[in-house]
Amino acid sequence: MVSVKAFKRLKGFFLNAEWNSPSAVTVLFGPSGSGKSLTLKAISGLIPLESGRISVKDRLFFDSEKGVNLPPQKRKVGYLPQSHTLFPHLSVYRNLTYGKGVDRKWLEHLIKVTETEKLLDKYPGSLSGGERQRIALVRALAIKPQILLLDEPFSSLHGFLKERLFEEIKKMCLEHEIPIVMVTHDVKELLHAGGYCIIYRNGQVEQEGQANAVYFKPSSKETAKLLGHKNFVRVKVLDSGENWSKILIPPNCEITLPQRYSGKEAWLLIPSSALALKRERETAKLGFKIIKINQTGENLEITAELSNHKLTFVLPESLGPNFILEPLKKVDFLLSLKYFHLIPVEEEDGKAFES
Amino acid sequence: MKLYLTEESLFAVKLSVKTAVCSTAFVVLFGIPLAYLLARSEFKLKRAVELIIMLPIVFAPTVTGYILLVILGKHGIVGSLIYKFFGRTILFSWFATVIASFVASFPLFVKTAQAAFRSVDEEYINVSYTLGRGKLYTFFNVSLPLSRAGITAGAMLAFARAFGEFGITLMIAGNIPFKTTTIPIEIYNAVSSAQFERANLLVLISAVVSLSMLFAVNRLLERWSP
Repeated sequence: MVSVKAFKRLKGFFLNAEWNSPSAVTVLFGPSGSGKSLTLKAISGLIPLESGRISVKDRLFFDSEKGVNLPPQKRKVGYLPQSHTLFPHLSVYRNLTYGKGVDRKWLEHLIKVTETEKLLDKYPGSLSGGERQRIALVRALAIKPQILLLDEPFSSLHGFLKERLFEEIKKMCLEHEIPIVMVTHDVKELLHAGGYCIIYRNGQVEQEGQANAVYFKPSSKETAKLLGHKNFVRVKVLDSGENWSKILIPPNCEITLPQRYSGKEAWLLIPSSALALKRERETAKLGFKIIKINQTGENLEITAELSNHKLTFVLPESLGPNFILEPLKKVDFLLSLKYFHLIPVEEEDGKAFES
Repeated sequence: MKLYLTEESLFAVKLSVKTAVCSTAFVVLFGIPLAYLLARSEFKLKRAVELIIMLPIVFAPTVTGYILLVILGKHGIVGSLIYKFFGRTILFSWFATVIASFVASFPLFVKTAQAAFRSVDEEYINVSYTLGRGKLYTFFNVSLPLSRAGITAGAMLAFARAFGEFGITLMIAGNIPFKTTTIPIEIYNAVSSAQFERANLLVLISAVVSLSMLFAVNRLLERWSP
């Protein structure tokens, strides 16, 4: 639906990103300064690219080979930057009618749907953060955009408001077949948005795929950390085949995972949600030493040690084990194997096992 | 303190007001596009342009005046053209007082307006472009209104500076009674002929104008600063 190939050299930075998103919602995720916002600006035509190709649905925005480069005015993109979205010197109504060729009937419909009638005479300065973003959204949609670009649009809002506003946006865009490309560095936002996820690192695409799949199967330890994962165990790969690998989790637990892996060593990612309730075919039993237990309201946060690796697990308070957990106690945990994921070891990680 | 209003003083006040108003009008007219260019775009010789505009601030007024004399004189680059088309020189006319004030106050305005344009967040302009609006529309509807405080302040500073211009004026407009004697020059004339009473009123008027401009500028920038 959205296809981007962007190359640009800046002072001390290379943008060299290429991705194809089949989904109505695309999330660009990565650390700040990795080129996400730059990509949005390239899609909207606000910065010139050296070479590449950008198309949205069947419309070509930019193609350096064919010499196509629509100016931002012709691309019809709804662009919502992080801040400074509404013109402070114009009333809400004049902000909404600012765009070129705004259809009054369509605008009235949008105002009605978003319940913003009562804000029309106000000035942006007197609106709350949520109201401001909602008005900015209506203004962007008023020009019937081909695509909606959101650059961390909710960073100034609180959790609940954030989710509600995003649901609203998503619903409206899906209804009118407007694809969304959103930039975030917040994992919660990424997972909540769902859709197709592009992981950025140093101006390049590190990984892409459905958000949930990328979350559980990151391709590097760096990405895994970025996604908020904390549990990594260094394991030895004993044998591997077409779609399986046999690993040794120290000190002496051998398990087979349904993942192809080439290499002698790996990082085993065990998501903090991998605790299983009962023994099944797809579970592994591992011996841990409890280090500490945190009660964080709804959840129980258990920190435990597995062969010198400190791991943290989270489970709902109500599903807490029926035995007493206390520091230094040795406990066997059942872990769901389907969440286990092997990540290649990088050179700077050094060697953990003697061969 | 005695205040005397003579015919000379009255002429000086009228001329100074006329000169400052005209000069400020030209300063704003030429200064706004230039300040915007300097604030928003990169071009060859940008540094050189910035430097040349700033020269009157660091040069001695007599030096600036001398350079203008050379340029605007009958045989100068600009002066010869004017002479060719109009058959006369603009030096030592009332318009020369406008030119002197213009040159002296232009850098003050451009610097202030440039800072004002630069303080407008680029995302406003980006949003305007994506909403289908071109560069000119965006300039008049976003950039200009959002920097109006700084631009007004710059214009007031320029007016105050123009009102008090002396050195360059003396060099290129001269000290011709009832022709180019602005307030500062008339004050000089009064004092040099030891007529302090005549100077007093002019000094007072000049000081009041300058102070009220300064006061207004401070209030303006205070109120508009984020």
